[in-house]
Amino acid sequence: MRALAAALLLAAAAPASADQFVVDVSERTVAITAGFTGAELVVFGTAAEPQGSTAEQHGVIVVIRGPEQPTMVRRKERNFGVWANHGGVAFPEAPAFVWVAASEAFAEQPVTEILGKYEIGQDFLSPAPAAAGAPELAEFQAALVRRKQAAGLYSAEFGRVDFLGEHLFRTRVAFPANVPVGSYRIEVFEVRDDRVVNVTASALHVRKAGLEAAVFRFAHDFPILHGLVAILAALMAGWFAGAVARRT
Amino acid sequence: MQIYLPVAELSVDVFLLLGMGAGVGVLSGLFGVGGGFLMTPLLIFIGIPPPVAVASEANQLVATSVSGVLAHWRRGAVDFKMGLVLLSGGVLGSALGVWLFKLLRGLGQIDLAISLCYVVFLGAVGSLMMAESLRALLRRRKGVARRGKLHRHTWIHGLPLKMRFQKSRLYISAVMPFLIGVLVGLLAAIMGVGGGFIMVPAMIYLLGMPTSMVAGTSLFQILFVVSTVTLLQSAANQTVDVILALLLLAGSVVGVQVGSRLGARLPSEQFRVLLAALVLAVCLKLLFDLVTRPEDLYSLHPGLL
Repeated sequence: MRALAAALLLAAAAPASADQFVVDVSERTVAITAGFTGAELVVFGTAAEPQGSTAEQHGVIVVIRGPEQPTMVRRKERNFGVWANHGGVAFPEAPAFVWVAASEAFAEQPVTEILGKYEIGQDFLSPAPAAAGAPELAEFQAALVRRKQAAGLYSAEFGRVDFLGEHLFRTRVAFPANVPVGSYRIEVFEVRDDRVVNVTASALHVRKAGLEAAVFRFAHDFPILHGLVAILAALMAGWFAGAVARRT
Repeated sequence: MQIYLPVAELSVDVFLLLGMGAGVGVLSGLFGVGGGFLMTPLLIFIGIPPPVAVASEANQLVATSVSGVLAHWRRGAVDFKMGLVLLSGGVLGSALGVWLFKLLRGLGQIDLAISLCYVVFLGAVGSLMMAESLRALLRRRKGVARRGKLHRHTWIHGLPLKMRFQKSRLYISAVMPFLIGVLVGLLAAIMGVGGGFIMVPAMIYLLGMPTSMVAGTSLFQILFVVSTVTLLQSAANQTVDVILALLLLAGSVVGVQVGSRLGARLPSEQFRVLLAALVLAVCLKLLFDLVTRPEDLYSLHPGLL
């Protein structure tokens, strides 16, 4: 956090040249350890044009998205009185997590409308299906976004990008506890009127660390040995509990 | 206090898991059941992915059953020969179950299969238990002791491969216990249960085993079947979360002791009615969820299959 404060100070102190669009993030990696309950990052930078310029609409939109995962959307139908999955559409590259934030001029408006207007993030709002010609594709795409939003993995509305002065902006990103592991992309757009005037993209990694990472790797790299250790641990715990119970 | 479960890949409150372990543990101690049939739906209910819930619960049941087996063994209440016959069926059944689990998961029907299995088996066992214990209560009120036949000859005795089980004083076909073992192994893999609630009635009513041998022998078979399921699920699906299993275990160890002490002081027949009511309640809740229109017809599944 101290490094961030220093960086912000530095950015504020340097006379912002009017045509520079610079963005950085407080951390490049998010480590998931045993006590992980979510993480907060700060994305900050300077906009090329001053906020409150003569332009009709000017501002910054931040999109953080990652890791692309194959995802299946299934629909339930009623069969013999029971609701069961019946048919579905596979999306080979749907981002597991999408977070968006925008400055004041856009923050109150619907996410899909703004992103659609500037053609940002079309790939996650309407991901491509595995097989072309899937019937009712739009409904399945909408369902994907809706279910992700319900799980807290896609933003339902914009987070706030705050301007501190004319050029300097920052936004806080809250990663939930169920944030998927993998690599993420941070994209920052400066928009004016009807078009995007500046873009930057950078990478961010979310990974498991410490004991959690060791256990996960053990379970995936040595599955049989892991199973044996799990059985042994349970046997010893059960035997120990029985021995203690007999004593008392 | 939150803890991140490495295989389930989500954060859960430690005290919630300890509490669930203790709560189900008390019921296990009270009624002498494994508690898997309550724990697995609970885990799914708090958001643990069903495959992880089923596999990790099997891992926890290893610990619950080993202390039970040791206690019964000391009293000489385990029929190892019968246990081995049941077990040979159980290993086959659990291998079949893990394979079926993988297949159904690919088809997107595993959640439905788990729920349907629960509805059918909890419904059947719950109503049988309810009828039986109500009848026992009524009998006691009237004070009439009914004597059953010592030996009933049924079609089961006509099956081939007869074996002598000295400890249970039985001379019956090995086919029936083998098939019971297969069924229980299958259920253990798909439902994350030990299967005691199926096996105990089957041993008493189908095999005619003496009740003194039933608990120890079923626990013996369960110990090995849940161990097999743990190993196979870990190897085939990587769905065993040791941290989750150990936390549940820590809670249940305490709960079981409290429950068994409570059980010694409470009237068992009234409590059997309560257990039956609990089993039926879980069954009805699951059935209700299956037949009511879900809030969102769509759901997401990782992977393309």
